[in-house]
Amino acid sequence: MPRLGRTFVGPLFDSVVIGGGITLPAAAWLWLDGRSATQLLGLSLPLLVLLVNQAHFAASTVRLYSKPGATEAHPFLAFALPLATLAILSLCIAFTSGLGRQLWALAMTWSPYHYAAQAFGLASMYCYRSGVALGAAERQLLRWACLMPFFRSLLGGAASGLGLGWVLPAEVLGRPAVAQAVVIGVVLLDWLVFAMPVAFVVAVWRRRRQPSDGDAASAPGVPLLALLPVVANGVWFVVFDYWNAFVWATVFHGLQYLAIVSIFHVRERQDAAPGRRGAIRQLALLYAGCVGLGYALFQCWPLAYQLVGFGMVESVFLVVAAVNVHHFVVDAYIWRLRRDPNYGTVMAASPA
Amino acid sequence: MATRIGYRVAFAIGVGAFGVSLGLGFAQALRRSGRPPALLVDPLVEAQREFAGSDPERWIGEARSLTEIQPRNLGAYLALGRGLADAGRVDEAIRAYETALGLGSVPPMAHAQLARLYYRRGDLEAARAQVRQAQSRGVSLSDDFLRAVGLGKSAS
Repeated sequence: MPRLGRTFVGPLFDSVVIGGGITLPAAAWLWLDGRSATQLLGLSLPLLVLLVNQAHFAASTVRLYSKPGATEAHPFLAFALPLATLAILSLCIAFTSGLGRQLWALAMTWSPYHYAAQAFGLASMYCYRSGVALGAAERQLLRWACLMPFFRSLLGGAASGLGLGWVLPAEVLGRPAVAQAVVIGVVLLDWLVFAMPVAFVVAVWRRRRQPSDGDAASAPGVPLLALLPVVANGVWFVVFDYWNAFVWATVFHGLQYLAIVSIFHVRERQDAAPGRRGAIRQLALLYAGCVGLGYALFQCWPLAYQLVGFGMVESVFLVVAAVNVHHFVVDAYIWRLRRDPNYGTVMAASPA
Repeated sequence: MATRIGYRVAFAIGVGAFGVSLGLGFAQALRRSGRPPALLVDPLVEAQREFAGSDPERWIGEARSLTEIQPRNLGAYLALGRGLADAGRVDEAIRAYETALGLGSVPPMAHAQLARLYYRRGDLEAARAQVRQAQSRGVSLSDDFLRAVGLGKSAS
């Protein structure tokens, strides 16, 4: 009998928000509805993007400076990366056709990898938290399972000049043999997106059955909460076309991210000073900080470039790309589990 | 120690410059509209709304920037083509539409717009080909234009 696994908050919240379970019925509904994200969300899109998407990009920066010991552990990220980002962004806006397009392609190509990494991180957290100690081979298998939607997007984005289309010239991609190979690759990856998580579950199940593991028969199998983020991330890139996948994956990824940041933040604060401030207040302060910084980054910052004479389009798109890349870099360091205080939060006994 | 000081100096410059940028951005919005920056998702749509009628060259520049950042964005080339056509720059507009056609399937109306551009340049054969493409995808064109390119009732 499959088990849910050990939750952070509670079965419903962990399944629907952190696990990304909400994406499954939502994807089915959106697929049946058939309208694009922009058509469907209409005027509510900018508000949704601010409250979820832009707030989540800001959340990694808020976490970098609020997580105990993070600035000391990662001085380059904390102290030098802001200036480096500013300098690189300014160069890219000044040289749009040379550098700007590379920054945009980098951000958009990296994005699905970032989602895959988050799915891997969440799945690993739930495995550890639920008492499933993954062996090296199982970790590798889980990582590959999480990476399948990324590989799918590398091929799916080729026509838009992203992913494979970023590195291969249009003439090469337009050759019949290459175009056919890309189509076959997409179909194959559509299957692998869902087959690889099954292979991971089977691998863990088989190890559990092996008598050489000592008390193997009592070892737990993969919890559903570890599978949900992996499957949910795959659904977007298989069910929707490239750009709609981007919009929906980003919104739900942001929701997931904000939830997990909130849990870690509140728990760390309460561990440091138990009872001094209520969890709700900590949560409200954190979220207000994320929305405020998101607004400053995405809505105010591009206007400064317009003030000094650059266009609206390059200012907005390249600020978006630079903030994306900054977020990906910061995230790669601040969510490590090994030899990091994050591990203590993941393994904490009771739900938050 | 030197590294530590270096980091602190870099941080101070970075945060200072970022803070000034934000302040300037906020001030720019207040100066332009009297309000804090509005929530913006698609800058091309916003640029079209703001500049297409009042400042055609600025609008063309914005669309061209998008083609530079996203060189395989079909919609960006169509926007650029439309802007150039409105400004009377027929040859450049045709090049933009042709680039869009080379990137994938364009909306049916784009064929009609390109047909009109070919007609303005005097290339009737190319115009007729685009008219047929537009008609096959359900776009109806005026009888006057069809007659002008040699596809109207009186011409047949």
